[in-house]
Amino acid sequence: MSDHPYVNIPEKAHWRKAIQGKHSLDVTDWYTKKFPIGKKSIATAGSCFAQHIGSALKQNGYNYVDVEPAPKFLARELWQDYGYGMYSARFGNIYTSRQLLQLVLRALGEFSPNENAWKKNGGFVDPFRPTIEPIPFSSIDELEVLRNSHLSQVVKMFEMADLFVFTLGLTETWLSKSDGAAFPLCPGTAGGEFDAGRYNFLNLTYRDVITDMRLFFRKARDINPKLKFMLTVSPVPLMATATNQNVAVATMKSKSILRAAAGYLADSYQWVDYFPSFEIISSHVMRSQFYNPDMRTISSHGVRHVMKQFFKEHPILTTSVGNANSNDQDIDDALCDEEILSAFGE
Amino acid sequence: MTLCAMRKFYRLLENKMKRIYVTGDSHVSCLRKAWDLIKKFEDDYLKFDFTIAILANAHDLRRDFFEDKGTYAKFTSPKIRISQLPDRNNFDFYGFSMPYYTNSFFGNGDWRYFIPYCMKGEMFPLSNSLIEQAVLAELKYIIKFIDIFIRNNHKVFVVESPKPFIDNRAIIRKHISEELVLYLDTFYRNIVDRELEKRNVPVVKVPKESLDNMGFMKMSFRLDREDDAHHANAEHGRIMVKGIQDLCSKWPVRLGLKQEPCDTNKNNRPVVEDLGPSQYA
Repeated sequence: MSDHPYVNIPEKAHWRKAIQGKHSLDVTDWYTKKFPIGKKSIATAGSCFAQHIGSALKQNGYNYVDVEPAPKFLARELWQDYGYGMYSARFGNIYTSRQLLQLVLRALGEFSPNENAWKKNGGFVDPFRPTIEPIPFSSIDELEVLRNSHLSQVVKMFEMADLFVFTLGLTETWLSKSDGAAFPLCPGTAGGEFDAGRYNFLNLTYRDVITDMRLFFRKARDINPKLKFMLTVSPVPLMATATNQNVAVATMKSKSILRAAAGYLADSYQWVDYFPSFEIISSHVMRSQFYNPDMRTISSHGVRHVMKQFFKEHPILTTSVGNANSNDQDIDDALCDEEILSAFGE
Repeated sequence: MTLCAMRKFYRLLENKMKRIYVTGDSHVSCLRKAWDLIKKFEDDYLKFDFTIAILANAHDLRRDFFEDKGTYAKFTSPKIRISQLPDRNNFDFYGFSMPYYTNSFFGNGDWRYFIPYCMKGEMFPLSNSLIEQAVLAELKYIIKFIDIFIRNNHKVFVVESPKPFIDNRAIIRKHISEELVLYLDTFYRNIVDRELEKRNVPVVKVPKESLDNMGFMKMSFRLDREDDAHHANAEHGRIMVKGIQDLCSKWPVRLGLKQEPCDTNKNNRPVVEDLGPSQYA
C-alpha cells in the first residue's frame, strides 16, 4: 500500500474509530490545548453561555479575575440582577465581535458613542448595558458615574489577565447610524425607542468578525502584550432574527460564520486557542441531548460535560470553598448580648 | 401592699391603664432600664403599664425568624425564647425596636471599598437602587413580622433605634468615614420611614435635640461602657419611653388612617430626595 497522510492519523481523526458505534458520551479527544493555563489569571466575557465557563473555572480553583466584585452587604440572590458574578467585570452579555471591540475602545477613551443614555420607566439605562440593573438609574449623572468606573475597571481587567476567554454569540446587531455604535440589544427592547432613521441592522459577515477581532486583539495587547485568548462559540440558538429568515436557518448562518472566524483566528495566532464547546453541544453526534425542551438553552448536564472535556486538558487545581465570614457580626453580637444581659439579666 | 403598689393600683383604675408591649433587638435595653427607674421614682408616668422584653439580637431578626400563622408569628429561631407573638396576653399596643438598626449595614467592612455614586471617593460607586435593595433585603423579615400585627388589627408602633455615636466601631476600627456612616444611616432610616409610612405605622423618633451638630447621638446618651459605642443609656431610654407614652395617649386622635400591610415594592417615593445629594457631594 502506498504511503499517504491518512495512514498515520490519530484515532480521533478517524470517524470510524472516534465516532462510529460509540455512545455519544464516550466520544473523547474533543480538544487538545494549544497552551497550558495553570495558575494564569483568567478573565471571561461573552454571551450567556460564557457565564457557565467562568463559573466552572471559579469552582475548580482557577485564578479567576473579577474586577467588579459584589459588595458583601448585597444579598447573594440579588447578585445576578445587578450584573455581579457573571463575568470578569459588570459588562453584562457581550454578544458580538463589534460590541467587544467597541468595549475596549470605549475603555481606552478612543470611542465615545453619541448615545449616552436611554430613557426607561422614568429613569435612564446605559445603552451598552441596558439590563445591568433591574431598576433604571434615577439620573444621567448616576449612570455616567457608574459607567466611567466600569470602563476603568475593564482596562484593569485586561492588565491583570493572562488569558481572556471570549464566547462569540451572535452576528446580528443593531448600530447607531450616526457613529456605528453597536448595542447589545435592539433599541426599544430594554430601553430607548426604536427609530429606523437612527438605527440600522447589521448581520456581521465573516470578514467583519475577523476584522473586529484582529483589531480587538491589537488593542487588548496594547494594554497587556502578554495577553492570550481562548475563543469559543455559543451553542445557544438565536432567540429571534431580524433577517426575515426562519430563525433556525438564521442561527445556522450566524454560528457558521462565528465558528469559521474563531477557527481562522486560532489558526492565525499562536496566542489564540479555540475550545470546541459549540461542537460538544450541538454537533449531530451529540443528538441534541444537552438542549433543554425549549431546544435553546443548555442543560446543566451539558455544561458539566463541556467542562469535563476542558478539564481533561486543563486539570482542576482545587475545588473552591466558601469565603470565611468576617467576625464583624460576632463582635456586634457580643456587644448586644452584653447589653441584653445588663438590662434583662438573661 | 406597699404604698407605691397601692398608688399604682389606684392610678390603674383611675386611668383605665393601657398595656404596652415593647420588644425587639438589644436597643430595647435602654427602654427597659429607663422604665425600671420610672416605676421606682416617677409616679407621674404611670399612665401606661409597660412590658419591655428582648426578642433577639438584630442579626437574628434579619434572618427568617418566624412562621406566619395568620393571626400570630410562631418563632422558629432558636435564639428567641418565647414561642409566638401575639400570645394570650392581649396588649393594647405593640411597639417594636427592630427596623432602624443600621449598625450592621453601615458597619459592613465592604464600605471601605464601595461608596454611593453621589459621594466622591476612589471606591466602587453604587447606584441608589442597589443600596436600597440591599437595605430592603435586610428588612424583609421584620416588615413581614410587623405586617402580621397590622393585619390582625393590633395597634402597632415602632421605636427608632439610637443614631450612631461618633466613636462607632465602623468609624474608629474600620475607618469608614463619618460622612459615609451618616449618609448610609440616613438612607437606611429613610427607607424604613417610607415602609412604615405606607402602612400608617407611627414611629417614636429620636428627637433632634439628642443629636450633635453633625447628626451623631450626643455622647451624653452613650452607654457608660468603654467598648460599647453602639447602645444608648437609660437617659435616652427615658426620653423614648416618654415619647411612647405621648404617642399612645393621643392614638385615636393622632392617627385617622387605618393601618394596613402592603407590598414593599409598590408606591415607593425615591429615597434620595430626602438626602439631597448636594449635602454629600
